[in-house]
Amino acid sequence: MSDRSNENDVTLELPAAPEADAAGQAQQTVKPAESIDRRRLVTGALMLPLMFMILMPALFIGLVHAPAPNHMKVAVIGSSQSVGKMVSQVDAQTGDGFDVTRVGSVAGAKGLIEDQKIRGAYNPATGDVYDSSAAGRQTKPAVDQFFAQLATQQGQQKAQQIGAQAKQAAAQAQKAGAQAKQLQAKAQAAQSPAEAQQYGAQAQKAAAQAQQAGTQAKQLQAQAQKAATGTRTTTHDVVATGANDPLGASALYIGIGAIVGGLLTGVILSIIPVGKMFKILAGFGLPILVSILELFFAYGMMDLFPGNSFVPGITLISLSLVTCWVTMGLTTAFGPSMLIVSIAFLVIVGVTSSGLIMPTYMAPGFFHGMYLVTPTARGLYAFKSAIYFGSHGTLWDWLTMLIAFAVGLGLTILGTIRNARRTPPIPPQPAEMTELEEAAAVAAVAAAGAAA
Amino acid sequence: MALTLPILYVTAFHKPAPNHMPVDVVATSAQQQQIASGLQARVGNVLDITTVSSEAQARSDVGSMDARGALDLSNGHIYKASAGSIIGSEAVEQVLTRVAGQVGQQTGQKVTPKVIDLKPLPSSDVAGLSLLFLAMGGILAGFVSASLVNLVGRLRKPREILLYAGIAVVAGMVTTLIAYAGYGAFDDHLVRAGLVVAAGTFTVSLVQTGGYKLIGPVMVYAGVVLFVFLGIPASGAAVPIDMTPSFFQAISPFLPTPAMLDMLRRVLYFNSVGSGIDILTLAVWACIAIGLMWVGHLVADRRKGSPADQFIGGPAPRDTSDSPRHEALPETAVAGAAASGQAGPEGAR
Repeated sequence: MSDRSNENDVTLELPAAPEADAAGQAQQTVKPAESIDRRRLVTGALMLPLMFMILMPALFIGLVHAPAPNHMKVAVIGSSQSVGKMVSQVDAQTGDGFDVTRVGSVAGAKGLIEDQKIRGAYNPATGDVYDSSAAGRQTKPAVDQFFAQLATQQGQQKAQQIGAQAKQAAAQAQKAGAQAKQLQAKAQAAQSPAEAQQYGAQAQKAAAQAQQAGTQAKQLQAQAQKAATGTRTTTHDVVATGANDPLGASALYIGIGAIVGGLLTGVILSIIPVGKMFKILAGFGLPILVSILELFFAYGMMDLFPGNSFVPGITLISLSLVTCWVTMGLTTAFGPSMLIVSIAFLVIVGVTSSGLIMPTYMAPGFFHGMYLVTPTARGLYAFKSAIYFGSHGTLWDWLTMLIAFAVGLGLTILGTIRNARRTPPIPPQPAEMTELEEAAAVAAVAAAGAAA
Repeated sequence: MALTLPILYVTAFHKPAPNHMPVDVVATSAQQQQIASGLQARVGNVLDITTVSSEAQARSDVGSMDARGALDLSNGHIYKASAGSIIGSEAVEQVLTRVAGQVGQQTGQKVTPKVIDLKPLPSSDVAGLSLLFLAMGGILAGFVSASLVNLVGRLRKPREILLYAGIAVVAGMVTTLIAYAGYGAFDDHLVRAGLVVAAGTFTVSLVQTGGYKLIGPVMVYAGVVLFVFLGIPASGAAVPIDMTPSFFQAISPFLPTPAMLDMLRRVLYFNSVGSGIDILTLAVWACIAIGLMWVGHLVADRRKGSPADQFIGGPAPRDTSDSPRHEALPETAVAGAAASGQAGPEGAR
């Protein structure tokens, strides 16, 4: 009788086997059952390609096809009332696209950009736009375009105001001109020279006023035309990418390598029968080794990133360790089928919601939501922040990774204890199946990396 | 694998710069032709300049992706096609604007470049990357399904091929459904796009199976290297091929992934112009796959044992096993074949 409590066992309960000398009959009886189970196995196994067929376009196209600002934080520099009025107006106009605030000074704006609290700032007095290419390839053009439009809008409003003043001056000029004509006519029709002189002087005065108003109207008209073209903005890149990595995509590739290294280590250690000490040593040693080799390649050989590698290195190692132990915990505690869950959650969702392919403030809200709870997404973001932004604003990223690591470690311990007590032990899934799932995960993440 | 991926990708993508980028220069007068002929020496390997005699020719070349961009010396017009690649079109605009400025200085005529985008990307796909994931859904489905079927299945050849064809059709339908109906990333050429995805998926399945029959489960890793690690950088889908290192430019015409992605781009944005060579490439790979399957079959037959072995009581011939690693299938994969407790854990005979 087969043990039905074993999740990996696909044995069917069938009638007792026929006599040995009826081998032909036995084979006939065995074949249909074998065929049914193999078909079931193939059907179940084909869920994996179905997952890729759906997840790849669903998540990635959803992420990249129509990026648009989604509560992107920007600021306008200035402490005057008019700036405050402008900020409220613009914030209301942009709806959910931009969250516009006011900053008192240029230095303050730069500091906020360096701390990743805002993505850009605009100084309406000078037309300067402050942005950051390291924040993301899509961020800088979005910020620049937004403030260029704002500057144009400002210019057009100013042009309207000046235009109205010009119209007033022109109207005054016309009125004064008409008055001068009237007075001239009166002077000509005057009955006495004194009266004629009086009207004549008044006419001259009115004509002079008309000329002055006319000149003022022309000047105001010219100013209005100039203002209508808008203030020309000048951009300043506060936090730039390195010269050897202008697109800023290498952080994603290096981070993906750490995730893959951690995933593969976690999978291998959860399926091969090794002692606890070896598992611990390898579970820490291999992710650290992979991360160090990557750092050597990135900093030592290719000089991809600015600054020193210490804090980014620690972050990268942590990312790899978290991936390893979460994967190991899930597969040890719940079985090899959890590898697919790890691939879907840690790799595919993690990479898409990290903000390194597309910033989450330019993606649908779903990705920001997943970023909040996915340790690999948090780790990738923290790694990039460590490289370019001095790890500012990454406290919650580290906490999430720490919690995930603790959960992974706990599941590994609990799963190991439970599996040791279980008889018979859970047979592992085929090694080739695990290798295939690993390869598929690497392929998926490689495709993701290409989008950066 | 953990190190191969970042090393390859960083090498391919970290600092994209024009590398033999094909551009046209429109020269209608003798002076312009003289200037154009001197340009190639000045730009070196950055651009591959072709002098054309008419604006229409330049537009046609850019509109069919034979040239990344074109510069008209008479009026300073710069033609580009963003749908070919956003990064490529930005780069060609920058380069040709500089060239136009230098030519203006040389001739003493100041020309203000005017950029004309002949094939802009739609607002529903501003980054031009959706086609990459449309294709990758199919490629991964084909790769994984072929590997899985060879791992756990034991299907007869016609059924196996039919299964791959079915998966390819499903992949073409599901991925295009998501891209077109789900996100509205594309509007036109739905059927053609679906056919391209299906054809690519089917080819990948065949190649993966052919390789698996010959070299066994190692093909899993070989497949990842062929279709993804080399295929994606050489495809030009992320960074245009004329902005990647020469190695990827050299292998690009021969790989199935670049063929599929290029064909998809041409179908979606360029009215299928120039996609014949991509169809041919996929067809050649399908033939290679069939050849690999045949060779793998012969190798497997040889491993089953010669008639002499059977005569002297050697191992019984295996029953139509297509996988040379069938004996490696562990017990859990074939536990169902026991049919009763008496078959025991030995699994398939």
